[in-house]
Amino acid sequence: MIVSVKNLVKRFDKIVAIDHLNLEIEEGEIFGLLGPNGSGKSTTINCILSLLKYDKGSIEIFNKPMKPDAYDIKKDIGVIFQNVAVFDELTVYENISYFCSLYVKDRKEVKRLTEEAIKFVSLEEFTKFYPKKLSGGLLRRLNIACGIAHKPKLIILDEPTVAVDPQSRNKILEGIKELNKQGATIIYTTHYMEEVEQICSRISIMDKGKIIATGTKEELKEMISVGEKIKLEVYNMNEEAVKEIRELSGILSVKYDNSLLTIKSSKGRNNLVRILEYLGAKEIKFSQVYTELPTLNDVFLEITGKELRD
Amino acid sequence: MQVFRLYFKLLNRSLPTIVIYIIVFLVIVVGSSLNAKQNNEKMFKESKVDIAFINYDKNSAFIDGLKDYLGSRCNFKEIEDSKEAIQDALFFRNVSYIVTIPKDFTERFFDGEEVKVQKLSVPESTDSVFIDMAINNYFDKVKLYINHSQSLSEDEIVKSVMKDLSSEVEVEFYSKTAKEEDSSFLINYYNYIVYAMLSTLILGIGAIMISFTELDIRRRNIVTPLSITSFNLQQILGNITFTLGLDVILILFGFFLNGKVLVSQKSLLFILNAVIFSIVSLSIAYLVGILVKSREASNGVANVIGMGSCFISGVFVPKELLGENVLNIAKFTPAYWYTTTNEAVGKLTNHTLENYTGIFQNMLIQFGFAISFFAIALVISKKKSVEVI
Repeated sequence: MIVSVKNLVKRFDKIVAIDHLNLEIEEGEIFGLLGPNGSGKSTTINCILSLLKYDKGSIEIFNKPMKPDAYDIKKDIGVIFQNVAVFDELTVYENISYFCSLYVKDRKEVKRLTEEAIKFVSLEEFTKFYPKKLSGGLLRRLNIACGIAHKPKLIILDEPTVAVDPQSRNKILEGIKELNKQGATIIYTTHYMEEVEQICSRISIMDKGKIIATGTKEELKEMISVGEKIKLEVYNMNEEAVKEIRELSGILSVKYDNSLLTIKSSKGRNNLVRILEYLGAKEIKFSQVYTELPTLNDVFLEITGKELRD
Repeated sequence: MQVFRLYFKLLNRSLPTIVIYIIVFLVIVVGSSLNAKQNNEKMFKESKVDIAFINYDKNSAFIDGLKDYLGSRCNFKEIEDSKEAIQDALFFRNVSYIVTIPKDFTERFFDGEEVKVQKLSVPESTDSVFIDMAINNYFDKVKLYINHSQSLSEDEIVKSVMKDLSSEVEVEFYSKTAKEEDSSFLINYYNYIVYAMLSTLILGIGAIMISFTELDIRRRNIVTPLSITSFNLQQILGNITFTLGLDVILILFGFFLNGKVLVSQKSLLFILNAVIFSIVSLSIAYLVGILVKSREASNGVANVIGMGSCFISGVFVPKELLGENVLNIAKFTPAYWYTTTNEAVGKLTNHTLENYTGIFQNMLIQFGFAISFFAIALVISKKKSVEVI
């Protein structure tokens, strides 16, 4: 086990930020911690890293208890925080080299690892640039390079793609997958479900300081009753027709708004066929039909009754 | 020593501004020293006082002698002999003093009567004392000859008195110690160090502390395998190296500008005092670095503390010209005790334990300031470390 969190409780005065949280992360995983803002993801990470004292529970990393002075554990951890944490007075190269040197004593090794990290995040052309001269995306890549240059066994990324352009975001996500391929275990926190679906091998969904579901994305989607989401552009639909569709077999919910009919159906075949047959029989005209498999947002919605980004 | 190396990389970025501050300091100190030198060379210039001389007596050798004697110290101005003209002359400061010789003054004086000249002077004028002394001096001498050389005529007495009064006595001061050094340059130079030391250290250390204490950087440092103790020790070592480096530079500049390398007890005391003050400045800079959140604010604070201390502690304006209230406030600043120590060292002629006691007490007061500032900084730092998230 790379990380084991048992019964973690963290309070801020009377507010319970983490409520008896349990987590187990295996070696080689890309573990996603998904939840809306304020759900307790960053607090969990800060407790795991001993940046925060917690009220109850235990945390083990590499099967050893994690404490503020557990330097033998810290040397194998790389952390990329949500905010860019680099020195404005140092160049790209100097920043990466400095943070790497806090983990690695040998100067030649630091130089080699720094150059590798620069190559990994594709900052070769910017080595002599100061952070203030870099764009937001490049700055995020520098932030990542500072956290991973020493080749850690466990990499924790706390919302590293906030306010990043799509191109840089893809580059970062590809980089994370590459680091995982090289052998690092990844903990990735975000409120973007697409990112989690794209890269994570296992996901925990958090809300109000609790883990509400854990599993692979397929397992999580299997947990809910929604099997398919069907959307049709329909004109002149009346209340009666909406009611009749809702009564069709396998239909869970129907919503008609702005000429868009959204139907959630249960798992099973022929749901779409039944709907189209009904519309044909009633001579209700429709133009475009889309079908979607359930997303993690649907999982979150079904479990908590609210949208992930509410 | 990663943090120690980083310290000087960060300092490098503030170096241009620090150099500007040192250049400004040197320009000020050289300018003021040259000015002080000129003032010292021409410190005493005899000036003549404007007076009026009204004589109701007959023209005698005695009165002429008095007029000649006063003439060597005063300029005679003609004024109208009326009450109003006399009052106007004094009010408009055309003259500072009016001597009036009453009728039959010579005769009565030589007869041994108690007679006085009449005088009018500008109120609270120091010049009047000087002229009073001159007049008394002349009359005393004449009286001496009248009493002890009765065979001499009035003309002969006046001649003898004038001869006596024209002779000058040379006075030479002897000290128990060797010839006293002129410490005015050193006092001036080391006093001005207040500005350089405070501004430079607040600017340099402030900027570095701002970078180190930035929340995200602190979090990133805490999650590394470098212990907080090692991190802090390397940072402290950086601060001490920077401060001592600045000490060496400023002291060497002092020797260079002074034109000679003096290794005397006095110069060692100046150096010791400067080193102690640099520790105080370091503690202030450390505190400012913890409190201030931006480089711009740090620059502002460096100017306010640097210049402010110089103004109220007798660096830019001599203490003699400062009001009592200002000096009372200045006593709550370390710069006051530093400059007071410099002045005491400068005046030192005998190197005895008794003389050293006051100097070392002032140095201890400065140490007290340093300890207080460090203690406050540590309390705030501890409070901030709890707020690391």
